[in-house]
Amino acid sequence: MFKKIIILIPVFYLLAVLHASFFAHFGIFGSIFNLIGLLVILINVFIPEAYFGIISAIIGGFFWDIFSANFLGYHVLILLLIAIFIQLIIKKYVRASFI
Amino acid sequence: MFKAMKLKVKKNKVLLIALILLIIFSLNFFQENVKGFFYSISSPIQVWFWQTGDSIADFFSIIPKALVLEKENEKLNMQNLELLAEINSLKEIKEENFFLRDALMVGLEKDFRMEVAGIISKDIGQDSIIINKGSKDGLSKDMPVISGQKAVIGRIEEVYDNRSRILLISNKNSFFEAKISETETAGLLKGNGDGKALLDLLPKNENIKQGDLIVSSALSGLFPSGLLVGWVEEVEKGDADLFQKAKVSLFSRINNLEQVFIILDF
Repeated sequence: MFKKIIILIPVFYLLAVLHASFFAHFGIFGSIFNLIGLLVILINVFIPEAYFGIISAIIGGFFWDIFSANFLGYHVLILLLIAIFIQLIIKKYVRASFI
Repeated sequence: MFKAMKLKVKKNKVLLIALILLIIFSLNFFQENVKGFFYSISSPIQVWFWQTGDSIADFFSIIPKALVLEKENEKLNMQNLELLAEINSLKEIKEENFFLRDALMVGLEKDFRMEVAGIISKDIGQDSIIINKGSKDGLSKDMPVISGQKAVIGRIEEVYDNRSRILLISNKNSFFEAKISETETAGLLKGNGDGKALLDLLPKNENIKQGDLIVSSALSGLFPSGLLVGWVEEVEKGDADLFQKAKVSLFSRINNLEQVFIILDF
């Protein structure tokens, strides 16, 4: 898991830079395509290791905060809550089938 | 025993996550240094992404506009002719003015002392942008930021060593005094988010029309007087309201901007 986390850091950093400098040009009704949020959701839905999803939310939120006007920790908290919510739903209501 | 060990590992992991969160929140005490560090290392790649995104967005923005371009072109040609005639008459007045100044031994007024900066990123939800100049270039908080056409863009909100964050006039936390150019009617220009603004607290008895030019007023002390702000898009006048307000179409469109000017003193 440690290797995966190390890979996540530059990935989220690059996505945060893209979010602030590239996708900022393509806003639709005041909102822009959010790759950081999307990646955190995908990791939490499709990768079964619970803590990896949580750590990805923290790293993603941290880099998002760096390039936004909010205080550090604002998006960390939002993504963390989303990650915990997804994992609770999966744990309680989704049964994986390997057949 | 196995269950107890598993519980202990789980407890440790929760503690670790809480510790990471605590560290992130405590970084807010050194927010300027932390953000400044990341801004400085990502500056080259941000500039490249910004310019690439700008040119791609420009290309795609032409497609939906193609239908109205012909009519707009005709209208602009007409306006261009009118403006050429106006420029011509203004040139004559300018020459006359220079002559009179010389004659009266009056020196030319000093223009604003300005610093040029490039935009490197934009926070669309917060109506703010980041520029590539900071305290090392002599910038400080609350300095006005304008475009090359002397249209108000915003003011500096946060200053780092090599970067600054600009609060756009469309930001909901932005408000300053502006006036209708023709009638000199003053009102409070409030950001409305998403690139929009409102001119509020306009006296109800004043006749405000769609298309009226709005300029900055020096009363608030934030901007020099006479800078272009926008024009009246729609007037809202309720029977029960004490004041009338107007929706403002702003001149500053940061999507097409690459550089801005910071007024160092005025």
